[in-house]
Amino acid sequence: MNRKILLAGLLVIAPLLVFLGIGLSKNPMQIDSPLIGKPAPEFDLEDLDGQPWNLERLQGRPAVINFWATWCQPCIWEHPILVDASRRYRDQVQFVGVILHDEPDRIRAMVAQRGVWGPSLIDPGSTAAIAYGVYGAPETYFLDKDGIIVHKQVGPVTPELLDELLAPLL
Amino acid sequence: MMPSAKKLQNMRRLPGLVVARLLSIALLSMGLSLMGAGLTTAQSQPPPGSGDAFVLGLPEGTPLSGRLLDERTEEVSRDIRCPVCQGLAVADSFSDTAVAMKAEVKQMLAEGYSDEQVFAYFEASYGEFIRLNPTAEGFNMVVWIAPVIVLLIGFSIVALRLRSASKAARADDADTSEPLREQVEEDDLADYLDRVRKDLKPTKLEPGT
Repeated sequence: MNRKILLAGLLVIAPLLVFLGIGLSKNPMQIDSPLIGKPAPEFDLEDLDGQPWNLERLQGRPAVINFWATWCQPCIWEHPILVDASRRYRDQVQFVGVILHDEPDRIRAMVAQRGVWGPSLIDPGSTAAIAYGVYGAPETYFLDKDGIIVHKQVGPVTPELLDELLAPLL
Repeated sequence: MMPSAKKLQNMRRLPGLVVARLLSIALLSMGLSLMGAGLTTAQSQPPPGSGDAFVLGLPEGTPLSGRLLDERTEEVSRDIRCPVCQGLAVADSFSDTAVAMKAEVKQMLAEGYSDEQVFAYFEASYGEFIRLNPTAEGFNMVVWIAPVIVLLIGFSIVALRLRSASKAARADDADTSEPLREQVEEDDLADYLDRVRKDLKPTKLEPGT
């Protein structure tokens, strides 16, 4: 009887171990977003020059919305990649940065030093970040020309990833 | 009447059996509960149509203010997970994200949005993961029901085992033949008398003790 109960316990634990294995085999950088395939959340923000930006202004061509900050080292790594991509896709894709928990003056200084790849939008109260389900920086959302979110990238982007994701959207 | 040797042996084994059963039950309960939780996490997908939930429609509750607003904000924030923390609620974290989320909760409650609308708003962006208390519906019910069922099964097993052990002990008593019983009793008595004799053996007392 003892063996039977032990066997039953093991049978119960076995599925648990399977779930653990599945969880460990997943890429922790890939966080599923419920917004994939859905219209991007609306926002109404201003850039560093006080110019208003909203979702409507982005529609008509694919957009890349990147949440970043100067305190985020991976954001600094990917900055030149985004500068380069914004030049390569100049008239085809709209690149937009949303500042996550950072000071506009620091953003201005970094952009002046490392180059501009798009407007940097100030997000008071992190309303846009919360609406997009942002966990940290950097996180990048790829929108098609109709404003539908097609991909969310957690962590820095690479030139290859940008090309791969933007190609079908053009 | 002194208990038979076999009965004594059964009685000595009983606590061990009960502990073994309880451990097995605990193992089963834990396994099933965790399995249920794992499945719930694995299936944490947004409900259909929630993608446009950031347009929440008209507030369905009553606009709150003052102390009541603060209290409700705390209560609702306790059920919303801080997405940048390790297992903390928004109410318990001082991270920038949690503070911003708590401010949004407060603003929504002040505008008259119901608790469920507030949860739906965050769920639309982060998925069901954001709820610290998953909704008790669909497959999530496993988390609530499984431990109760497993405990009931466990208690039943313990009760059955205790009953069968007790029956076995009674059967042993009945089956034991009288001469054997007497022999066992005589042996036990002889051992006991030996110990008494040893204890009563006169000891030489030193003068002055």
